[in-house]
Amino acid sequence: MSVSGTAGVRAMAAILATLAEQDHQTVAGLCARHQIPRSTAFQIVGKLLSAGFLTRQGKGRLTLGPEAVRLGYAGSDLAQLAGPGEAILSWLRTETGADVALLANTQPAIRLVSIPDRPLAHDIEVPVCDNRGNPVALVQVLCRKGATRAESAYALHCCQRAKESLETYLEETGEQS
Amino acid sequence: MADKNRTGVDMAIELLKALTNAGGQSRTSELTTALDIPRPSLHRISKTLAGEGFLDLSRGEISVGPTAGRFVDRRRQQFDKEYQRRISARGNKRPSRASIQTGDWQFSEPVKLSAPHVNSGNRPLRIGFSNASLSNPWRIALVHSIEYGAARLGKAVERLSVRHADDNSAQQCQHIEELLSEGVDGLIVSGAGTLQVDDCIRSAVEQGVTVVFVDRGPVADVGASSFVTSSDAIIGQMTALWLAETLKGQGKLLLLPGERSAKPAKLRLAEAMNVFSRFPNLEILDIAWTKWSAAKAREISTDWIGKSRIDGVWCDSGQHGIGSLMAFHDAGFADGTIPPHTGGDLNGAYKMAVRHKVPLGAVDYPPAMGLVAVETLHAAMSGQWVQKRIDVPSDVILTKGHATASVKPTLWAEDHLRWDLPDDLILHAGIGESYSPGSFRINYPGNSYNRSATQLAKVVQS
Repeated sequence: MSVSGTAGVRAMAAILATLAEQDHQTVAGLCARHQIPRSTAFQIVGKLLSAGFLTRQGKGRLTLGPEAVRLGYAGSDLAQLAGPGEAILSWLRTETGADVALLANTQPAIRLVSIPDRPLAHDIEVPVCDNRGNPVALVQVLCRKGATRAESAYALHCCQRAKESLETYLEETGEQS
Repeated sequence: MADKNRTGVDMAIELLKALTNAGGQSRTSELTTALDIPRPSLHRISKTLAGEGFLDLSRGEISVGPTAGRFVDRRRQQFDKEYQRRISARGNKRPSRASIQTGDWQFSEPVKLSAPHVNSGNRPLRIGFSNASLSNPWRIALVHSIEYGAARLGKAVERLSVRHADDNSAQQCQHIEELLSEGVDGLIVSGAGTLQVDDCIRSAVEQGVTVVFVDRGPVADVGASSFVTSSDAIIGQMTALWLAETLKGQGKLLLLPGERSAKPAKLRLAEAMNVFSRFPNLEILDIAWTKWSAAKAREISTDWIGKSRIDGVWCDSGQHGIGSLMAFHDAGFADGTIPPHTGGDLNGAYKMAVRHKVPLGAVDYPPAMGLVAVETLHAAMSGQWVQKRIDVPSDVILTKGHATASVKPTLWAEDHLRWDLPDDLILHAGIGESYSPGSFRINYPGNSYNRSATQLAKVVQS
């Protein structure tokens, strides 16, 4: 097999690099930005969609897919927590109405997921431990302003539940591996 | 033997995947062998990718570069935006405060998750909705909410096909078969709650179809990604506790649950009975199933009004609760003398309670769960982890002046109801402030003339 040129690979790299900077791009927008022929762009985007590097959102907009995120985390032990962390934090936020974050317990700590997307001046923090009891991540919560005592107690309870959920996940995946 | 049609882009994708699987770093020689790419080709491809910062090249070794690291930051921003967009669509930004009041949350279990089901094709999604029935206004609102969710996904959806099974398991199985033969990638199911339907869904999952249940779940685990509902336990507990405390633990109750065969109705009644059992001076006159029919509830209440004093009426929904309110009104009860009722959802029930000064306690069962089901299916098929069970939050809704020691409102009925909209409106549909079931029009891939599948079903029935 031979490669007649690297134009396709260059176009693919340009598309992925653009989506690393700004999501919700359309194929037409990408064609115009990088002067890629329309048919080539559709072909490349089709391959990236099939491979999971991109996903299609409403109105034909493209965003990064799970394979791209996996590539971003490659080599790091944190990758396994990011996806489940999104689902758990989404639940935690909906239940409590608080600002929530999941941090990898590294030096310095890395923010894996947070709602909203900014560092948090938290008032609740619980560690998430691996099977050996080592703290690998932190769940943080900042209760909303004017929260009642019952709401704060509920937020603490939910935070503990989030920790247990992530630890259960780590335990199960640890057993599988 | 390598595929002759393999392009440079194919090889670049394989290279990136191989590096991910290898932990972000690999020897060039190992990659040429594993991927069956000639060394000069691999060199050209990796050099091009390194030019954009996706790879770092060093002597004999390839590793993931800094541009790939930016995918992580982008994903974090994307996730926050997606969450905010979903919540604003549902129109409920407050926390789930109904659950705070139940008091038994100390014993809840860890949140269970489903792994992503990535849609491997590059075409937009084909979604099927197999609906158990269209037998009451709530179910119409559910279909509208699902259609609204599909319309919001725009070009990410190639087609949404909807089937209503008239509460018939055999018919629902036939519908699921039809949807599978149409090539759906994802199924939303409001199940008839039988083992027969479970078997059909299990078979769909085995064929690689992603399944999300809504409102009515399976009997057993069938491998579905998620079950989107709202807490029937909270509806049962909170309304029963409010009624018992409003009556100071004494009096005669009429219990009017919904549909006997529907799991949500059974759960609500069981939870309510648990609460009532803690008040020994409450006498239960009757437990009469109403099929969520206002006419049936009106008939039962009329019958009991003639036979006994009634101090309170427990209904698990205002859909039939309105029938009981009408019965008291028909019997000549003046404003302020109709006994306390429970049951929300229906705009008309709230209107009637407020208009005739009836103490009312309710926790709505939000049809917005349809919209959440579509979002969850799309998320699961876009490579995201999703909760195995999602309880869409709801409010504790009381008429003004009727809070009790344990049950406080998170929303007053007077602020919740819509005087400007029809009585058959089901609230909390997540479709927006101006949603009205009679005039609902929607455009999504799969319908025509902006007609809802509920309108088409009516045409077929007539």
